[in-house]
Amino acid sequence: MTSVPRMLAVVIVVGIVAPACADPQVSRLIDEQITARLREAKVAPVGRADHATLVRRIYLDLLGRPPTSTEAEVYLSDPAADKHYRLIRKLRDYPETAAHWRRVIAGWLQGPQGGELLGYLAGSVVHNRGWDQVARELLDPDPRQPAHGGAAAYLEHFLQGEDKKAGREAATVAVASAFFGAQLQCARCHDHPTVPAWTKAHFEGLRAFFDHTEVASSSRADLAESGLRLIETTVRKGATRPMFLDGTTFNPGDRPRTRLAQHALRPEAVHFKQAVVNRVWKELLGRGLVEPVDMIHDGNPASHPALFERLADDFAANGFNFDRLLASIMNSDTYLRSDRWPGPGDRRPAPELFAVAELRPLSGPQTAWAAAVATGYHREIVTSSRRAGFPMRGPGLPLEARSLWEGTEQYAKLADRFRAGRPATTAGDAIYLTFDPFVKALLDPKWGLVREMMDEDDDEGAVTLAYVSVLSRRPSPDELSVVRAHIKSAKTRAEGCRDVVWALLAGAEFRFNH
Amino acid sequence: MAAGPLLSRRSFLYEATALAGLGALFRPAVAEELRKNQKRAILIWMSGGPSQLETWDPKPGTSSAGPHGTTATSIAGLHFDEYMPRLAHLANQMVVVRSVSSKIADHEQATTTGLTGSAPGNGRAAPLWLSICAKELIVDEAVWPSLVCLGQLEAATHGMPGGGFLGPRFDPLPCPGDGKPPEGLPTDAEIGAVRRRDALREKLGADFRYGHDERPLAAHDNAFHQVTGLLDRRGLFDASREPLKRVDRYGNTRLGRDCLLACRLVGHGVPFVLVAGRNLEWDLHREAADRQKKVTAAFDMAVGALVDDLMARGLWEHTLVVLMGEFGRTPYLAREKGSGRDHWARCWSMSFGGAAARGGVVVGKTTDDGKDIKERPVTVPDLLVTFYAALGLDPHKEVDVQGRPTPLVERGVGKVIREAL
Repeated sequence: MTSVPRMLAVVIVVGIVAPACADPQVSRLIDEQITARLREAKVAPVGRADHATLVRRIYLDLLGRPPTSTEAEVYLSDPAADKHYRLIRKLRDYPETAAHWRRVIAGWLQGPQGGELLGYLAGSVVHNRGWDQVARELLDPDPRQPAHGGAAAYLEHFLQGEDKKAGREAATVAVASAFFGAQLQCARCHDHPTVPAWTKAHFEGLRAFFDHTEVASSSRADLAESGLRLIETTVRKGATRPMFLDGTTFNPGDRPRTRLAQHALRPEAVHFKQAVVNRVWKELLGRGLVEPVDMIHDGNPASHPALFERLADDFAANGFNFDRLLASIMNSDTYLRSDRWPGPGDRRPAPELFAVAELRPLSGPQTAWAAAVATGYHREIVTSSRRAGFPMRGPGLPLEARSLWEGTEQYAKLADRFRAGRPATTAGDAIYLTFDPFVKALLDPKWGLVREMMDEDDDEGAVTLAYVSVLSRRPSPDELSVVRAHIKSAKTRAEGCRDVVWALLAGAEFRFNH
Repeated sequence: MAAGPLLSRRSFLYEATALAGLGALFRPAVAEELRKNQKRAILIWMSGGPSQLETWDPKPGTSSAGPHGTTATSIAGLHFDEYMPRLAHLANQMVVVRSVSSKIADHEQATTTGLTGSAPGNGRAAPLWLSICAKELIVDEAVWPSLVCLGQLEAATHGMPGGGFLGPRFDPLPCPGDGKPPEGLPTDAEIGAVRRRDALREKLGADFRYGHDERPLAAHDNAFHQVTGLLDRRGLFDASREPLKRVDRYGNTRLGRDCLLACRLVGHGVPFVLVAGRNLEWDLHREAADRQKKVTAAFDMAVGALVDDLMARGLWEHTLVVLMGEFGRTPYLAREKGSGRDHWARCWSMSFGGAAARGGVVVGKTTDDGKDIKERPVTVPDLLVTFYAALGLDPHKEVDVQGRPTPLVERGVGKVIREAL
């Protein structure tokens, strides 16, 4: 497992992070453009979400987990009016942000979902490296740079199979979707039925950038040093000419992947910057400015065309600064809106107006960490991590502890069950949450949240603790009375407390980021 | 306790749910008829790659033959392996394909391809063909589970395929295999507690509906209702409720118990069942002689009893039964001791029957030495479109996947084996 040392190398430099840098002008641009369209549609947006909703949303979006009960209480008790802005800035400096976003980005890339690539992505997020630079290294890793080995794992993933043609096609489909916002599966065999700009020739042209790339066997001595296994083979006569989506062609014998990176990642090139902005926007607001997220073409305009264009241009003009984009969106009123629509349900505005925050199901990794944090299991993880001899460095959960649990079968099972791109909860999920031995263990009264509830002096304290731990908010008086009555009528207090934690974990409020 | 807005909203929802249920009650006869005609399918996955020479395509008296003899079938001139007397007897009810040809001889990739029609890593995760059936062929949306998997297919790439791009709603409900029910179902003593806390979940969740999009929340609640519904029907998975005489006929084997449970499930409203079998059970490279006999004989006993029972229950015409693995085995024995065979994808056999499949059809022929196809090559996509067609589903239908028309089987591949239907 070569991934471990690389992962640790990332961990060591975690202390020196670039500060988050929201640009108020970008946040303002977002709000102006969103408001303009709302005005046209004669829809009044909802106001800002309450503190409890925001603390959970911001933690989930940045760290991929909800706040612990302590973190939630600290935030809820803070009287400052601008505390959400400060929270966004503060959490961005947590190494956990990299732990979360490396998985989000790996999901976009549609390549390996673990291993060396994740270490590489974490490092890129920690250092807030220009996104063009990251993309360049993924498409064209430099064999002389050992640090590019993690990036090379991306193309290797597709190209290492026996069926080389299928591998190159799979790489082309993934690269087109992730880097250039183009869904090219159809064009593999025929011109795209609905998008005139995406023909079979475009697919083949894009594939041709990878036609002469192969994965060498790891035994080759000259590659041993860098560990990089991507090599270029000789170009035969009559080879397909590489062609980018904009129609520009290249010489197949002249380092095509280098040319692709040079050409397609320029600040002026529209595909790349728009694809990244659209993905980040979708991650934070539940739907892209263009939907589906990889159907960016003239026939499928953005919900807010001017905003989309300007946001992408601004992103490129500022060095493809990921942090700046992320923080600027999160600081906008649009992001901070309430999730409750006060009017009648059938008058709920279309989601592409962004008048009210939409429910977003937690991703697999978010679900796994939310379950751990809600039940107090994260403390066990930190203890094991300490016992394993990892240095404990704050703030937040140590990255080592996150990596430690993320390597376990329990985590994989949870993360896979609630994997992204799913509509809602299925009966299989309900079975899992109801009967799985690991979920049962999380509710064991011998330790964790259920134990803590039983240690509280009274039921009110116990119920409040459960709500803050699982849902990052305090219970309403109604909820308090329903739950207290349930605990009183249970056979034992332990059973009552366990029921409460389960009922909250299995509720929709926990299942969604809202 | 004061009846606040929390409780009043809840009682409103309760009434709304109760009213929605009434519609169905008014037409019980219609519902019953629909349920009776529900198309069903059972896939018995022969994990590891069964030897065509020790099942449906023996080559007695040639250098390809192994130690087994042959047995005559109910079709004149057609012979099966000597350890398949029951399937030989049922040959006139089923289709045998002796000319399947594929390219991949690696377990993981071939298993994924055999179950989904697509090689792994080829675009988005392709669904299990039974998941497509569960999506397209369910007449009663309330039916759950609609797809159950008995045992685990460990040899599939990236784990067992499921609903894929159709979404996890069409993932199979996993059972551990060996005739056992889903893991973790509560004991009778625990049921009351489970219901009590589920009632608490629903009560506490009611407030969250206020101001939110109703659809995902209704789906969330519905998932839990289906589980409590399953608790009411726990007996569904209890094969010990089957009469003893029937149990014996399936054989005292893991596959026997799974086939018995599969038969029970399709008879009690679960339309689609995947019997995953023991992992790599048919993968007999070395020291195979004794094991091959046992594997073939246990398979014949279990599947023979399953087909007999489906016929006896009047389910045969609604139920497609498919018997196949990921590839075949070499038409020569490995030189080392024990007469095993290695992987062979160039030509292999499988069988199916029931639903709209005709009985007594033999598709394709291999050469005398068994190394090549002599007549009518059939591909894995050909098989999948034929399964869909046998169940009355248009195999070239396209489903909407996140706004993109997506064919059930990759465009341009797969031709229905007409002579089999």
